[in-house]
Amino acid sequence: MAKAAKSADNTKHQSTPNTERDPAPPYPKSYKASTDELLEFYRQMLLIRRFEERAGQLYGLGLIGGFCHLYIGQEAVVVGVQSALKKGDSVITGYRDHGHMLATGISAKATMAELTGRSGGISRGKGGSMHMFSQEHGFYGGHGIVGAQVPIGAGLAFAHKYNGTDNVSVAYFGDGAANQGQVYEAFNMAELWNLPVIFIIENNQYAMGTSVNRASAENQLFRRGESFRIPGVQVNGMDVCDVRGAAEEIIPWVRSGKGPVLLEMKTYRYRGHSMSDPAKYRSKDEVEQMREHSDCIEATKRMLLEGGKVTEEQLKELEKKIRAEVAEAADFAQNSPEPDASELYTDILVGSY
Amino acid sequence: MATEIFLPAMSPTMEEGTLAKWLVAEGDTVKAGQVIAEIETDKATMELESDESGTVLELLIAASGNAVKVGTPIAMMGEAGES
Repeated sequence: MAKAAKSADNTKHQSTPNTERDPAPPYPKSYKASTDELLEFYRQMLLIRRFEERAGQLYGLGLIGGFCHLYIGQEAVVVGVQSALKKGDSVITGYRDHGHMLATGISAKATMAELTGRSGGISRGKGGSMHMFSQEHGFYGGHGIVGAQVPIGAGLAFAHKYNGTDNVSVAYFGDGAANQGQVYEAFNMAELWNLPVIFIIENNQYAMGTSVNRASAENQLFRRGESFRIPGVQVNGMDVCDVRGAAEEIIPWVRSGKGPVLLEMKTYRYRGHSMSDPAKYRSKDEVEQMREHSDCIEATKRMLLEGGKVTEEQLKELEKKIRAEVAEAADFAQNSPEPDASELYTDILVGSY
Repeated sequence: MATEIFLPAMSPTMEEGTLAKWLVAEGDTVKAGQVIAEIETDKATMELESDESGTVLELLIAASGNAVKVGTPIAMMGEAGES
């Protein structure tokens, strides 16, 4: 294990800030987390991982209908970014969203029960992973159409500006969605209107059936904002402190009214695109190498233990708590009743007509 | 904490599967993502990966036996020395 610590080289992505626009934000430094902060990052990432593993099992048992896209491997991205946001900020993403929900503070129970389509779910069991939503937590979905969350994310930023708040909008999308046309319409308007939005490309290096390098003419995705004069920064998304460092630098910059920024988080997913993707477009060895040498949770664990302030026993105790929380969520998701038929007529129109 | 590994549905239509081959033995340590068994489904032979790292405590279903229903516990995983 000690040897693995050094091997981050193959994922330490050199970042090149895009300086098309003047002023561009300075290149972010890695965040120096306190032990408590690091422990909290670890807890959140581990919760997402254990939650997703259990979601995968429930899917395998036929308890989750439709598709199921797991976030396993990418946990550092959402945990690092979310930790630098404040109340009132809005978050929006696509359908690989269970981790985002947990990170915004939605309970594991309400998230899992939504996956199983039960009335205890966050959308009362009517939405599933593609229609999860909680205004209370600043989480605006959970979207089923690839890339469609990006213009909506720009719209949320417009609302913040229009209402005169200093809140920002964070719009996450994947490397596959980065090739959708509406993303660029949103970029244009966001820069033109100087909207407080952070576009985050979670580049896990594979879209539904192929690698980003085979499917993208410009595969350095942080440069995708260039022709709109949106500065872009590439970040090692496998390191929660690098992610937090970038969020720490960029979010206040955007909050202060300097316009949108594009962050490309280089990350990796261990599972297929969805549960029905055997991921034949990459080798098992590649996945194993990433798990072995670049895993965000293992790296954080090492940092905690090397710091000397946290013991292996404490981490085991924490893991036990997380397992119990996930087990409780899974039980709830299987025992909560299905939505009543009358729910067919609710949440369709605002007010009554 | 010992946990059960269930036979998962490996395709939307799979209702049962046959354990074609165990690739681990009781007492082996496995890493998360490691292929631990080959499962014959209604469509093909698929590889079953372990979600977690740990020790194989017990194999509950013999290889090349009868088909078992999706959701049947097929192995116990945990830490060495647990039961």
